[in-house]
Amino acid sequence: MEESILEIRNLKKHYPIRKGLFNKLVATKYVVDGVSFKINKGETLALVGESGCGKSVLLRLLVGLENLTEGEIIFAGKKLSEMTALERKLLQQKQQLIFQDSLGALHPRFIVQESLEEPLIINGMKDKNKRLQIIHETMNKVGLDPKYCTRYPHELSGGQRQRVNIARALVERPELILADEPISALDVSLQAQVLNLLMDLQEEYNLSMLFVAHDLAVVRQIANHIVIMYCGKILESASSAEIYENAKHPYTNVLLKSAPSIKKGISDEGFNLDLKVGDTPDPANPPTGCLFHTRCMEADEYCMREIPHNKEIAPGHFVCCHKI
Amino acid sequence: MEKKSIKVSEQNNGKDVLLKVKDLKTHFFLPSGQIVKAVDGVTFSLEKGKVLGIIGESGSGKSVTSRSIMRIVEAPGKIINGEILFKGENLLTLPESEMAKIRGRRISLIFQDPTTSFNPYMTIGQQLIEAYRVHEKESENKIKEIIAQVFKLVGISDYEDIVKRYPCEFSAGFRQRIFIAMSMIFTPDLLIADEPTTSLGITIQAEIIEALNDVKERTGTSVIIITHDFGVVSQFSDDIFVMYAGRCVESSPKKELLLNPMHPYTIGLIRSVPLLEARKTKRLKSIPGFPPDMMNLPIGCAFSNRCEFAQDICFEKVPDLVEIRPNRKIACHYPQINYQTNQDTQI
Amino acid sequence: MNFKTKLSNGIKYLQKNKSFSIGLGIVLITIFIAIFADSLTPHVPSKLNPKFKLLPPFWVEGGNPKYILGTDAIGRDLLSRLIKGIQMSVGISLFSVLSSILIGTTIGVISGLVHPSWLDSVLMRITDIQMGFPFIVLAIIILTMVDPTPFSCIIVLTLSAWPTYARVIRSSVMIEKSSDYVDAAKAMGASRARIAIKYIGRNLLPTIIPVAPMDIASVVITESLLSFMQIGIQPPLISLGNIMSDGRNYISTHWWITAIPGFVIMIIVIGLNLVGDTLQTTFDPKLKQ
Ligand SMILES: Nc1ncnc2c1ncn2[C@@H]1O[C@H](COP(=O)(O)OP(=O)(O)OP(=O)(O)O)[C@@H](O)[C@H]1O
Ligand SMILES: Nc1ncnc2c1ncn2[C@@H]1O[C@H](COP(=O)(O)OP(=O)(O)OP(=O)(O)O)[C@@H](O)[C@H]1O
Ligand SMILES: [Mg+2]
Ligand SMILES: [Mg+2]
Repeated sequence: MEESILEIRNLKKHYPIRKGLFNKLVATKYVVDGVSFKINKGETLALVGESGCGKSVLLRLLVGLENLTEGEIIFAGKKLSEMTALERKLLQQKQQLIFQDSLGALHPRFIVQESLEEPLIINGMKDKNKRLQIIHETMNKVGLDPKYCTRYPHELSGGQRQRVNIARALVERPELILADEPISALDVSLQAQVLNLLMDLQEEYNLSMLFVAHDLAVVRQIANHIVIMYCGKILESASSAEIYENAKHPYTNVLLKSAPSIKKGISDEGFNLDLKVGDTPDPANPPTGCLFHTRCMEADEYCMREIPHNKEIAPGHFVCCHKI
Repeated sequence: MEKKSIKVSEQNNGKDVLLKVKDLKTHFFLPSGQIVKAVDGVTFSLEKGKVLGIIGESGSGKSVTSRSIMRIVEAPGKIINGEILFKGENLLTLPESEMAKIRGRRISLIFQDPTTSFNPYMTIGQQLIEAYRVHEKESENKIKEIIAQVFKLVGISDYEDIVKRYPCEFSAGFRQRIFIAMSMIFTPDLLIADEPTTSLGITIQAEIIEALNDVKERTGTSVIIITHDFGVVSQFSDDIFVMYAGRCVESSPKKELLLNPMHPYTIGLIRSVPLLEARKTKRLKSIPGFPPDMMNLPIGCAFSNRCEFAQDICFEKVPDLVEIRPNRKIACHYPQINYQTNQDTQI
Repeated sequence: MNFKTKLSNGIKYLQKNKSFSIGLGIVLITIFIAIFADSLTPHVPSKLNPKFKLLPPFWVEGGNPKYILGTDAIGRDLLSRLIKGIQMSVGISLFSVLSSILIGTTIGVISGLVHPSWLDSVLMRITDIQMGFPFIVLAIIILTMVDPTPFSCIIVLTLSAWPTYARVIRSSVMIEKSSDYVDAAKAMGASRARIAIKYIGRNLLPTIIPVAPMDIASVVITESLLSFMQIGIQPPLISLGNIMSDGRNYISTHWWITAIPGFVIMIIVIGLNLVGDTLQTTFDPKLKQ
């Protein structure tokens, strides 16, 4: 049995939607609705899903920026709900979030050095020289010249900014990195750079990682385990190899097959989207039955009515679909 | 096929060329006295009914190029040189009142984030009618007919319900689809889509591209698609135009560029695209270094400091854009004429 | 960019910007006059000189070069009075604005930080009431009830100016509060005080600084208005407003008594606004991106 660093069980986050003079509850937004998974030490779990499916909210729940509606977070075998204040503080150092928006996550009036110093100061490192030493070390590690120390975020390019964010997550020598689409906003050439960087760092520090993406091609190189999320729920989860060779859920197959690629461009393939035209579901008004039925080509009446349950079709390979 | 169409376009001498941009330069004159040469000599042309993909890193001047075509470059920016021939007419010498008639009617622009292009307090229907009436007077019924048509164009059949709702009630992808419909009410000759799909996810992205494709097929509108996603341009466009630091580095029909990229930058870009089919290798290939600082570009070729083939001359002289084969233009001192991409393994 | 290059860049920028230089010049001269008023006055401002009543400025027919700007109805030197008046008016305005900034910022920050709560609602209702109340009525009520000393004038003027600051600060605190970088700080475990001071505070100063000069300008006008209406600064104290008020009865025949202080007010107000305008673009929230 491998040791897990983070395990979440049946995590839920519902936002009430209130309207009118008396703040009457008019609806509930099921943004994260019963998500469970486990990340083993030193491994990377990729959470893949489209815009608006609740990935960022899930990460915010993990770092305590939002309160859970329901569920349990277990860090290194210890339940978050049973932790003392001191243990929680330590946890804040051990798991670090890299934000989706690399510019927004840095204070516009802090120079790079100040941004990187903050976590160290907050956690009580008084010695300025030591702080600077750690910062310079980390900057070198992420491939940033320490001369950028005095730059403001808007004076950096996108790739450099993302490196500052990664460096900030690393100065505390964390055990788990939660990376919220760290490369989606970057150019292709920089995507590969940053992905390589993350893999190198992971090896060097034996980091575990939760890597969020909206695209399966991007995570192929980095993930050990992949979780496919759709409208707040998990549709399929399996090891990376299983997903790429033996995906079962229709949605996963759409993600795998309809991604535009150079190869398709060369062979003049058109867009063959195996999807019904329609809107992605609204988390405030989710479809009945299977969440994916509104767009699934194989859906029938049963899918519209009954909520499917997780089935383990191979060891560690879970699918949530009636058709399996 | 390819050769034939070249000949036709040359014979007709610009008759089926919709847009021709010649040596366009748009610079930003910052209050501090610095100059950002955001677009510095861009040349390309686009045939009727074709799709041109502009690809390049963030900050390479793609959006400024598209805004220059619409003549909506904002404050410290100025178009200081060049010609933009749209149906043979130079847009840069047109009086503003004439240009206003072209904007939104003959040329439409689609932005990355459709949320900001909609007014949140008006229903979709009201905005469509408004958009129409800005340019032309027409009875409500006639406009409704047109609206029904444009929705059909982007694959939405039950539009009745949609027009009564507000923009915020739709997801990002669907909003973009509606926006494309809205840009089509005058069936423009040219649709410029500036990163219409960035960071949305594959199915949403595919839906938007499909909508654009439908529109193109059904109306013969030419499309310029701006993106930094190689997959999208590969599948959608006929020609590809690669930009780096405000200049054109390579332009070519799609397939030739994908199979035989010649500029080291293009090669680097294609190599670093993450592939679904790739083996789990230890590292991805990538271009070393960072894009240049636009306020102080290197003296020679802007790519020289990241280029594996660079020689002394590359650091001294900016290469000219030369047509080394019909329809293939490249700006490089050492083009890799024999480079072939290998499509099966990591390219 | 280090501080030095930034400073020299700043200076270069200011050199290019003519209107700012003019504004800054006016403001600096005004401040100089206000500080050294007592040594600058050529005559004792309150000394009557029955021999030289209603003397016009020296360049006008009948003027006396000893009394550069002429004298008023009871023969007091207008230039000396003007200098003292500038000192009083500018001093009062400055203190009023500083105290409004202090009060407004405190209330705005608290309100913004605790935003969805009863405290925020209470503070904002108070602000609204303060903003909605007709200022002149309030001023008349207060200044007729208490002694109209410079101190009570400052209080009245402060009352009129703080709500704007509270509003502006509150909304920018609320925007900051929901930003990703504040979230990042929270996730690092930063304390509330640290977030308020270091993260949010650092963005507030640039919001306040550009508004302050313009606000001082409008308070200078209000103060003069109160004194002109004879409910503000009372003689024997001198303010720009009550110099003008003194000349009220002579406007048609001896225009300079009213016009010159009026002109001075105008110049000061223009100077402050020019400075404020430029500061606004310099401290642009997007950091001149
Ligand atoms: N504070 C909130 N109150 C109400 N709804 C919220 C709140 N925060 C997020 N949501 C909703 O939760 C849903 C999921 O948002 P989230 O940001 O997690 O998406 P995402 O998967 O990260 O998408 P993207 O790829 O665009 O970043 C959205 O519909 C959003 O509107
Ligand atoms: N208003 C402006 N003032 C000054 N510089 C500007 C302005 N707008 C754009 N630029 C500069 O022009 C250059 C090109 O910008 P542009 O927006 O065209 O890039 P892009 O290729 O569209 O990048 P992205 O992929 O990030 O959208 C950039 O270096 C940018 O800093
Ligand atoms: Mg997100
Ligand atoms: Mg752009």
